[in-house]
Amino acid sequence: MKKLSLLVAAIFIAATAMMTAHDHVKLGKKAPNFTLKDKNGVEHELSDFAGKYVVLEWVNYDCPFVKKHYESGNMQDLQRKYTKKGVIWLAVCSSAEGKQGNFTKAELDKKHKDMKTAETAYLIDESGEVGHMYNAKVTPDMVVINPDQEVIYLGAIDNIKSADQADIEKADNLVADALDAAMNGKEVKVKTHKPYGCGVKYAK
Amino acid sequence: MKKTILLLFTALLAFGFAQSEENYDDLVGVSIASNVDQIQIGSDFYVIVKLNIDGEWHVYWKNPGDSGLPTHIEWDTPKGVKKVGGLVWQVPKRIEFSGMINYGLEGEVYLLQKFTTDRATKLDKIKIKADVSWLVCKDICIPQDESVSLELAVGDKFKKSSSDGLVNELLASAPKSFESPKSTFEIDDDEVSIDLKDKPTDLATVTDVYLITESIIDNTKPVEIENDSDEVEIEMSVSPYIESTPAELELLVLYKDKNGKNKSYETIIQNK
Repeated sequence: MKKLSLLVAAIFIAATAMMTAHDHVKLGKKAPNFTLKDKNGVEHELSDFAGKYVVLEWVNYDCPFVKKHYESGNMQDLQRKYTKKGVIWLAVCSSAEGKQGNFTKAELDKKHKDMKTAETAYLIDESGEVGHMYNAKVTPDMVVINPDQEVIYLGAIDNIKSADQADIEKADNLVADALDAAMNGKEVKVKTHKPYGCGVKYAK
Repeated sequence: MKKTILLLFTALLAFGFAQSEENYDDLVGVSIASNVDQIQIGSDFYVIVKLNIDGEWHVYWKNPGDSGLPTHIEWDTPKGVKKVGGLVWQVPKRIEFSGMINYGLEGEVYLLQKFTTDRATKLDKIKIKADVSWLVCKDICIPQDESVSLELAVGDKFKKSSSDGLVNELLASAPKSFESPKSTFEIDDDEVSIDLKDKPTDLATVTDVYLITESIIDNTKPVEIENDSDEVEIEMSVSPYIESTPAELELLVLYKDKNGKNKSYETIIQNK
């Protein structure tokens, strides 16, 4: 029995090592592929969305910086505006089990209904594997991927670092700027900006 | 046995309830003081804002690191009273949280601001208000704010306050301002290299460096320091969020002086 657990442990360590050796996100490079289940248990693979623009949004609804963008309706407006234009919007939650932002399906259904969110899918990344792959350190953290599955924007939602809703209209929305430019065949001016927010509540 | 389990269960429930109802209002106590009780118009004075932070929680330094927000003060002063320079911050700590490095301050945090009074302005008293806002974090983060104010008398005599000693101590231990006209920096795809060619005369060895300019380095990677006889070379890893090489780099340098005493200075290096 002991030997078996040792073997299992060894396999687990090896698997973890392989996971950490995974591709990491890099601006201008191919977006690392992943498969995650959404809140309904349906699997989504990033490569399935090749040919479309994809937005990844790291989320934790109890984080004050995420609240800023949801209580003001800013995030939902962006989700609605761009999904209507054919953009795939994936909210990703890397909060580990028992940590802030990790909700049950029932809680999520209620939140999504109350806040009238419009993401394409809400993906669960409890292990934090995809979060680490995308170097997501805070919520919100945004990634814009083009139809060739290259990362064209990485980082903050906008350029005013605060938890104050009043700053939203004064700020440049860097995700909208990147999508608008790229979808109109123009160059994305600001390709990256350090994200601001709460630390992602990863498993230790 | 059953009773004990029931009791334990009840206790757990009560504990859980108390946890979820935790009150965060008392996490940070804010107070304000000055080094003077009375001043003459035309002279300078200092105001200290103190944040007394509950154990294990922290607020953020001017560069917060990977997450968080800097503590901020919006001053409200009468006409004729002006700030001299920026806020004086204490040396921060690296605070690790699930693979991130933040630059924070814990326990008793002091923020110091120098003011000057304009001789041409008539004032019979000076009221200073500080709107202080901060993000306090442990495993979760809470944005908070509070306003504190004080009134100083204006008269012919300068009267020290009971906080005069504290202000002197804070000024003595705060990083000094130092000019680095000969020092240089370079940023390539992987590394930020800094050459400190200007050194305070009492500097023996540089022990640590914090960048004040944000989004330049990967905060989670170690800072490598090589102390040579004529210059100090510092190497840091580049942040994935760097937009372009900045015109200048602002840093806090911690060092040991020739008597082994811990000292620090802040400096700006121009991109040449």
